[in-house]
Order: sequence, then C-alpha cells, then structure tokens
Amino acid sequence: MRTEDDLRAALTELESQAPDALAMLAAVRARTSARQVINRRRRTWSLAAAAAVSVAVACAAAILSGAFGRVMHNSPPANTGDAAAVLRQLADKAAMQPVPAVGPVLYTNDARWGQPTGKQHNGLLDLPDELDMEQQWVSAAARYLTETSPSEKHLHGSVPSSYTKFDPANNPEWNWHNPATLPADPLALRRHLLSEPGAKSGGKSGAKAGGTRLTIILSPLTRDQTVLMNALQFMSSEPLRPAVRASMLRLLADIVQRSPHDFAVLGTVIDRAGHRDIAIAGESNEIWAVSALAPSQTWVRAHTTATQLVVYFFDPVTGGLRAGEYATCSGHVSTFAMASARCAPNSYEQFGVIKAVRSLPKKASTARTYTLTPYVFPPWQPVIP
Amino acid sequence: MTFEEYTSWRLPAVLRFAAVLTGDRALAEDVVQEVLIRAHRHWARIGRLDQPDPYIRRMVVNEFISARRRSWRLVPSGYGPEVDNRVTPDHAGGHADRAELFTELGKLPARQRTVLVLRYYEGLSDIEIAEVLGCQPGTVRAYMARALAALRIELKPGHQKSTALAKEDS
Repeated sequence: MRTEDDLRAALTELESQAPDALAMLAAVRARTSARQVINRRRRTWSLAAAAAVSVAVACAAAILSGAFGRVMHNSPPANTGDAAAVLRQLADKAAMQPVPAVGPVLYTNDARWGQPTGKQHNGLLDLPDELDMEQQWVSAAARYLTETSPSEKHLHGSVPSSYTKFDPANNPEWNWHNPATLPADPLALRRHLLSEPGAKSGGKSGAKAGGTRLTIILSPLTRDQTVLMNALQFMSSEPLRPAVRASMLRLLADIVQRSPHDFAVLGTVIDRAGHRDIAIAGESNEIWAVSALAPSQTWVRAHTTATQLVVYFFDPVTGGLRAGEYATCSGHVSTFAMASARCAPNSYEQFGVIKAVRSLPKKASTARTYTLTPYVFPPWQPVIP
Repeated sequence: MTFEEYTSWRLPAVLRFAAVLTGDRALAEDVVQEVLIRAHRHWARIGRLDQPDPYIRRMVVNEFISARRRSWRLVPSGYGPEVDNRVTPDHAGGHADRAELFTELGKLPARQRTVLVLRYYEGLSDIEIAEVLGCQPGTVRAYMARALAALRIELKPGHQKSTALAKEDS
C-alpha cells in the first residue's frame, strides 16, 4: 500500500512539468485582441504609419476578400471615401435622433464571440467557439453584472453575477460616466474624455518568477488615442444625447483627419445581427512587449508588437455604434496589400441593447437577449512569426 | 489588480497547478492558455474580485475537465505526432513505485484526479473542493474514496495539508 505522503510527493514532483511562463504570456498575447487590454481602453492606435489612404483601402478590400470576407460575409466595400468624412456624416445623422431616456440606471446587453485557437492537440486541430452574453446595470450607487456563455455554459461555467455597491456621494467613476452630464460642446467633451478618473496612461508591471523577471510593457496613450478609445467606449455602452453622440463622432473625425493613413472606410457590410452598417477600420498598434530579466541582468525583448485591426460598425441611419470586430495582422496597414500580409480575426462584439432603466435588479436576471446569426469561424491563419 | 499584474504575480503558480492537475506539459499549456484568454476577456469582472486565485483555479479545473469531455470535437489536421505525451518524470531518487503511481494517476477519471490534486496538492477541504467542482461535499468524498482505492493509498488519521498557490504568498 502507498501512503498519502507518497501521493503528495508524486503530485509535487509534477510541478517540474509546468510550462514556461514567458512562452505562455507570449502565446496569450498573440491570441488576445486589442479590445481586451484593460477594459477595452488600452488600445494604442498607430499614428505613424506611412501608408496612403488608397493603400489602406486596397488592403481593406484584400482583407474582405480573404479571411475577413467570411466574417463580414456580405457586401464588398462600397464606399471608399475618407473615414473622417463618413464620421462627420454619421455625426449629422446622430444629431437628428430623438433624445433617449437617461435614467438613474444604465443597462447594456451585448454579445461577444471568441476566436478560433488554431491549437494542435497531438496532431488534431481544435475548433472551439464561444459566445458570451453580458448584461450590465450601472448607477451611482451600485453596479450589477451577469455574464453567461450559453454555447458552453456547462463546460466552462459562467462568470458569476456580481453586485458591487458604491458610495453614491463619492463615486467619481459614475460622475464621469453619467451620460446625463456629458457636455455636448466638442472642446468640453474632449476635455471630459481626457479626464477619466484613475486612468493609467501606460507603464509596466512585473514580478520575479523563478529567477526570471517578467515585465509587460504597456505603451502610453496619446491624447488622441485616449479620446478615441473613451468615445468608442461611451458609444458602445451608454445611451447618449444626440448632441453628445454627434460631438463624439466629430471628435473621432478630427482624429482620423489628423492621421488618415491609419483608418479606412470598408463600406456597407452586414453585421452578425443582420444589420446593414457602415464599417470603418483602424490600425491599432498595441505595444505589449514582454521582457525577461535574465540572471545576467540583461533585458531581452521576448515578444514584439503585433498589428491589430479594429473594425467598427455604425448604424448609417442613426450614427449609433453597433458592433466591433478585431483581428491580428502580420504587418501595418501599409503592408496589407502585399501578398504576405495576413489578418486573422479573433473576436467580435455586438452591442445589442443600450438604454436607461429605473432600477437595478435584485437578483440574477433572466432577461433575454437577441438573436444572432450562426457563426462559422474562418480557418486559422497564424500571423505572428 | 490588472490582468498584467495578476499574470506577472501568479502565472508561475497557476502553471504549476495546471501541470500537477493534468500531468502533461502540453495539456497544461493548452488549459492555462485557454483560461488566460477567457480570463483576459472577463478581467473587468474577475479583477474586481478580492481573491482572483480561487476563480482562476476553478477555471483551470473546468477547462481540464471539459478538455477531456470535448475530445470528440477534435478534427484531424493530417499531421503531428499521434503519441501519448503523458509525462513520466525521472525518479532518480529511488522511488521505485513512483512511475507506476504516475501511470495510475493518469488513468483516473478527470474529476477523481482533480479531487486528489485539490486535496493533496492544494490542501483544500471537502467543502472547498465541492465549491470548485460545483458538487456536494459527499460527492467529493465519494470521488476521493474511489481515487484512493484505485491508487491503493492507505489513509492515515490527521493527514497533513499542503498548499501550492499559497506558497507563492509567502
């Protein structure tokens, strides 16, 4: 007979089979979409690409005919105009919309698809997919979240519902988010978007692990990048007054105009919920270098940057933001037209319901969601050398 | 705590736990990678937890169990080694029975193996293990009894607990 100590010793011995942490981080990094970095607000938009708009548009067409064509499965790019002009047209549409109710509680309900993994399991290719649905209620006094994965609920579990109370009198985050007090004046709105409480503009974090120091470096955001990301965040999660939404779109147009090489209009597309939208793509050059401090005390960059392409889908009638798609690409926009350039879509998010409600629910909601079209993942194309 | 801070701080411990749980370096890689991708996506919520560790541990366990369940979904890709990559460590220390124990551990059903790892590696109680697995403590005890019987482990009173993730805290 064996003893419990034998078992304990055997299990502890298996620790030696632990995978390498640096390689794991690099692998996770390669599979993680830009939107997922720190609450979707740490995306760094490249402002230095040297490509011309025509190259970007050509590249967008190439993407649409390739892997992306399976995702945005309808309509080749019909509008090849400049993105700033399109955003201003959307702003004009937004300004004419009726004023939504902006109540004491904000409610959002959206759905997200995960990405294909492309993993090999003993010579077999795993083809998982994942659909998450999230409901969120936020008020000055509390935040309530539920998240479910209907497709694989019993396999992977769900993020449990969480209920977080705040001090209503001292909640700078709510004060900043409250759409009822968002300024409509573009300059004031820009200042507001730049003043998010507790926002971090970059930096690095690290810890010693087995003689190697792991450090993940987050590149700082420029002011334009901060405005861009925060505006898109507002539009994806909060009911906005028409004048505020219009100002946000005009702020985005100004940013695009300042760096036109990084954005392209993809034209009219059909999103995953079946809406006819206008798609605008932007290059996001997210710096997420992982460095290792070897025993020699020499810093080594273990993983470099990857280009992220972000596509936003706008309602052409109201200017509302309906969806976002994210892809990892093998080069910058300027290289997309080349045969060697590849993009692999890795996630998609449909912003389904954004409205104000009277109160937070007291327990888990069974409220339903919307119907989405079946999702067929395109073949995985490794894009990170 | 940000995702980056968490991974910098806890990833080595999570990887060790996954290695012990799976007994297979490649499977441990897959499990942790899946968990981190999923955790990253949900970090806005997970990061607000006082203790993300138990939640991540539960994700690792669920992923390990589901990885075995969904093996039927694998599609042949036409290449790659069709070998069992299960690890059998070298036992230079003279533990003659160790290799056989590893083999028998590898043959245990996923839940039974998980119960053993959570008890003898993580040092969790029956109730804590039940929370991780989403079952009753009595079920945990049943899994434990079957697993120990299969491995021919003799129980002794007042067994000593060990911890792994907790070691990182010290």
